[in-house]
Amino acid sequence: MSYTKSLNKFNNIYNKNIILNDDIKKIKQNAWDLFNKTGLPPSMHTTELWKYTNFSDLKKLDFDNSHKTNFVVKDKLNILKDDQWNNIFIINGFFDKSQSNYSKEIIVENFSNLNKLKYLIKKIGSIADDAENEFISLNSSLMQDPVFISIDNENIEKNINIVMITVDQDSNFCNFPRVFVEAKSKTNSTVVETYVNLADTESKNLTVPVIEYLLEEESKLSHKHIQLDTGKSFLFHFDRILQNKNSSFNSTSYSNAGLLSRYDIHSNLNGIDSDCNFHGLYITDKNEQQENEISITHSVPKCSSDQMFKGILAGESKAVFSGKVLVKKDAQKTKAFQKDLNFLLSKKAEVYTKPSLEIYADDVICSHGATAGNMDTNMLFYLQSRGINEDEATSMLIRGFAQEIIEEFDDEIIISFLEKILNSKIKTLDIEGII
Amino acid sequence: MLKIKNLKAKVIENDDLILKGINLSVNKGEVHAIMGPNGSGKSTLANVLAGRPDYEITEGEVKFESKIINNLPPDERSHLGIFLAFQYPSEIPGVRSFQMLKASIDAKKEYFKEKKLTVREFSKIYDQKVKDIGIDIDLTKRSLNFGFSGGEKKKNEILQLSVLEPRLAILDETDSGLDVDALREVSEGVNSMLSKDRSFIIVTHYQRILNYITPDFVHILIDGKIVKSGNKELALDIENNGYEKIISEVSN
Repeated sequence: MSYTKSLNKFNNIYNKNIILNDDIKKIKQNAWDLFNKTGLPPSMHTTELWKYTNFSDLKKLDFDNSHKTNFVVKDKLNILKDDQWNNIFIINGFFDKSQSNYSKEIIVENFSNLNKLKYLIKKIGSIADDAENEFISLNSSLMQDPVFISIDNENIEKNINIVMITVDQDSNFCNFPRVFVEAKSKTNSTVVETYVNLADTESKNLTVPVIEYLLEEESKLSHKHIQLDTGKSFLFHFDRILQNKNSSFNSTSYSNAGLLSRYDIHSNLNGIDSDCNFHGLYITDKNEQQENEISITHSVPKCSSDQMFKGILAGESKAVFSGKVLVKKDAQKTKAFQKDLNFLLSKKAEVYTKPSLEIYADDVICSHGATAGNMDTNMLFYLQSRGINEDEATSMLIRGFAQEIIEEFDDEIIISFLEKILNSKIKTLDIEGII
Repeated sequence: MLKIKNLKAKVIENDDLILKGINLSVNKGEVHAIMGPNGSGKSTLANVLAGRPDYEITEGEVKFESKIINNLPPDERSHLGIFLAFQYPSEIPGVRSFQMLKASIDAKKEYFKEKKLTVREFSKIYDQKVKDIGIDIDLTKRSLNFGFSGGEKKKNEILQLSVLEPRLAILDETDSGLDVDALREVSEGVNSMLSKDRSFIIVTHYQRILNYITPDFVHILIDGKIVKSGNKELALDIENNGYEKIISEVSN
């Protein structure tokens, strides 16, 4: 697939994209210029960042972004929501205000209705850098309806639930949800970020969400990321976080893999005494591929970070874990830990795990590690000898492995939602012949 | 209750027999001790009886309450009333003792098409047993056997024994790695489970656990065969003279 063709497919979309606001227009134009220089990433094994990603299927497809939907969120069981929460629905990349419900504790505006949050337009792209990644610049080029959320109340008790949904369209569909979240100084909040693909046709979709988080001094944000039912879609999900002094970003993630899905999260610890945790669980099956690009930059002294991801792999699936910690020269007294543990339930499943530390300061405490193991027959026999049959014992052990991360979601509604998702996922896992 | 006839068994990937023709009968309410030097096949026997899939029975039969169980999976043996207390209980991440035992009891009830216990009903039984065995309640909230000391792991096995109320309990070197106090506590737990309807097979290297739990019969297992059987005096004889004497008696 030629470089030009890979641009052509997005050219039409860019050209018919009309956004009137001058600031946004400029952002889009700059991003598009950048994307035109790079195009989609090259084929696998040519760059470290995309070493295991095969783009050939994606490059073959043509996408449309004509959005028409009368999709009704209500009563859909596979959408994580609660009436008591602040629910923000973004459907096919567009903010759906009429179906969203949120209290006055927070301010939510989209680009066509900017009022109090006009000043945030200038901040779009200040945390997610277009030059950093081809898909970020693609999102900035083709985003249609950026959403701005401002958290300015000291204690927001209800979850802020951002739900991004891809629903059926006539053709292969691409969408580029974009959100900017500002957590003001001294605030304490929880943001749930879900992506779900509800398109039930054979069409293959491309979704590239980019969410930017600005954490002001002494703010605390509990972040919960959930990726569901990506099915035949391509998903490249970016979370970009900038942390100021004494701020805390505590993230827990759950991903059911799709045909090709990548979760890419990065925080820049840019104010002293800040901390950041990225914990997560990913489950891959059949011919799915899940990539996790987890990175933290320690720019200033006295910050701590912790990465802990767990993977459950079945079928002929692949998972990639790339955990990076960059400790800059001035970032003394840094504490950084990372770990990736994998549970391989099939001989044909593969995991590429690459924890890496890049340290330029000398007074730091850092550690990293990765493991990949199979079903432990001793554990299995132990449970069987207690009257639990092989199938049930197997799923008990898989659930047990996942439990540690699931519990970290620390929210009854989310935990029971995820337990259901996990249980039904376990039932369909292709784990023939592991024992 | 248990009748083992000419039982021969080996590890699946290996051709060498470990059990070379075991004959043993255990009647209701009896306590049998099986003693033997390292590598004699004691643990293999315990595991084969519980149905560990790593072993293959090549000859002979195991009959439990008039049913031949040679080919029954471990979970079904458990339902029928066979319990193995492990020498090295597995640490199982993310699975708690309560959860596992509730699943055990549920599976058994289902097997016999009986009504399952509610969480509350089971909880009542479980809490009482935890108290009786004297297990720290905080331990039961952790992942099974995770961060448990050797003694705590064995006590936890006895808790499972007392909740599952098997017909036949096989204790595989339950005394190994226990200090005197832990050994006494674990033995008290076992003694509280003795009944005229329940049988025990105590597999051990040393005689010392038999100071606390009195066996009706003692069998000496050497090189995959029971070479001598007797009463508890036989265990004392081993304690005083070691296995060497019996080995030389047998080889002569």
